[in-house]
Amino acid sequence: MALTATAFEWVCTLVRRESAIVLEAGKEYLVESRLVPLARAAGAADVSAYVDGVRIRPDRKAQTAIVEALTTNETSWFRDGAPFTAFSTAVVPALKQARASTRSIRVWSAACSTGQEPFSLGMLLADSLLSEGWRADIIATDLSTEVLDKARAGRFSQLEMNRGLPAPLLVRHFTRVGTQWQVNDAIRKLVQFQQLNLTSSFAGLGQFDVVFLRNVLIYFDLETKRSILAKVRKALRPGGYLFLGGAETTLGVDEGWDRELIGRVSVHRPKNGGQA
Amino acid sequence: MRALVVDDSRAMRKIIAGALRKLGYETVEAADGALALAALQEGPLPDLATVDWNMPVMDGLTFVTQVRANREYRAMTMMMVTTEAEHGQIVRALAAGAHEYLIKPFTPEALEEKLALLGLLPEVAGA
Amino acid sequence: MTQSTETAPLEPDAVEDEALSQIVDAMWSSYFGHVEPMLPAFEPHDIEGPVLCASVGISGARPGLVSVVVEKAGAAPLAGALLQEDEGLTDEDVYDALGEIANIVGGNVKALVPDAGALGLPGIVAAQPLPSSAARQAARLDANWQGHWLTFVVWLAAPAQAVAGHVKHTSTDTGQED
Repeated sequence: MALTATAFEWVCTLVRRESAIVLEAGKEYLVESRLVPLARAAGAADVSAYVDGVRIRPDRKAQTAIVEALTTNETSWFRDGAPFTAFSTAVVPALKQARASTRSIRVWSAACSTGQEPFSLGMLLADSLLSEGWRADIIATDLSTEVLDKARAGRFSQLEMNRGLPAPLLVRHFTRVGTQWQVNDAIRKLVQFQQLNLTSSFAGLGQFDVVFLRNVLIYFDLETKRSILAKVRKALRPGGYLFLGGAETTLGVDEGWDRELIGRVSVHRPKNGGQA
Repeated sequence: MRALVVDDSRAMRKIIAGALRKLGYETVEAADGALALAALQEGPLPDLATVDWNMPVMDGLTFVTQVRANREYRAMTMMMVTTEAEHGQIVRALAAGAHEYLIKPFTPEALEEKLALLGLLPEVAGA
Repeated sequence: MTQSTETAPLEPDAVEDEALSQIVDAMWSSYFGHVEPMLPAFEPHDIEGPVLCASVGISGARPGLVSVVVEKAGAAPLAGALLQEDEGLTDEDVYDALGEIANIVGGNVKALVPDAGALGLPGIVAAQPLPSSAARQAARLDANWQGHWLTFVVWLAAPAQAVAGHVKHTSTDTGQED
């Protein structure tokens, strides 16, 4: 029944390669318990037999499933709180003035992962703009087609729902489906998901009033960061707003930005209104 | 900050109170709604009450309703922490006067994020 | 007699093994993440010998029972893991911890049952659980933790609607034969 050393080592190597997460010796039990449901679903005799099967006949889907089973880490709704407060209390009211003629705003959630960020933005926009007859579009992109499939489905586990989602918003915007919760169509239809590698061209995405690009630049080297920030500047409409992660900055990377403080949150706006 | 932890399970009171103390709270515990009301009468008024739903003697929904009916307790924030997981139950609890709702099982991170939403994270959090 | 197989297809039950397994997994990763994981069994495993069993009842249109059964020798270590206390646990502490496990699983199971009513308070017995005769086993999960066997099991009364449909259908058939 116990996991063989070969199977354990192979899983460790796979997970380290795909996620940079290191599973130390002694985690055999953890690996085994996480993989039992996959092994059972695949009809394998036990976990070692399942892993051996995937190892000998490489199967991209099964490899992804193994990595996901061992690295699941729920992301939060309204993650870090303050940026969303700044968005709804300062940025949206300012855009209401600036875009009064078109009554329409476009928001980009870059690196949207399983969808908590774009749906959080959607819930805020539903309350502040849609109720007043405005149009809002949220484009949500990620590198991984697997997380996009999950995000598009708009279904979240109980543990995911517990992570930072205010109960009044849960009640208003979600319906229970079995052990999961489904985001209602009113919010879901605001968000369009598409696969995008941030190092490739942004052509075809269109222009945005607000970009959320949080906790993703940290994974790139300086040159790539600079190139991404320059492309984001071009994708922003004049007077647009960029939100970065709390530990990220444009300073010393791309000088085409002004920084503005909203409460404790830094927002970044293209210099000269973006006409440079 | 002070929290009143209301749950009929000692194990669950220990889990919740332990997580709250790590965030910088002082905690008081009560094993049902009636004992929790008695604790409130003794004072001082806690900043937060975490309230289980299913308890002997007086359940959590009744406790929330009674606290809401008393103006002196208005400053206290109430969060249901319960295994009741239906949409309709969350609606009932909010209508009765609960401010937030955390479903068991929950992780310490989830508890912390709920307190952040309520503006009830002590500044010393994590210290 | 053969006509009785011609009943309307039963709707998939509200609570299945997969859902129970997700609920138990969420409970375990939330409160037992610091100890050795529980290994779900590939085959059903009936626990022989002394056990402790904590159960909560579900009232409503489909009354049910949710139980966690643990080998007696595994009960104190399990309670100790939940409480993060290894020594000085009383019987009361062990019953309390098992009861809370049943409560957490039971509440989440109740949310899957249409038109469910209230969740009962946990009861502890030193015997296998005893569901009412109207209830059928809906879902079950056997697992091993540190060499001790655990069983999570859900019983539910049959859906009232499906029973009504069955009766109506059979009586029509009977009418034709007569």
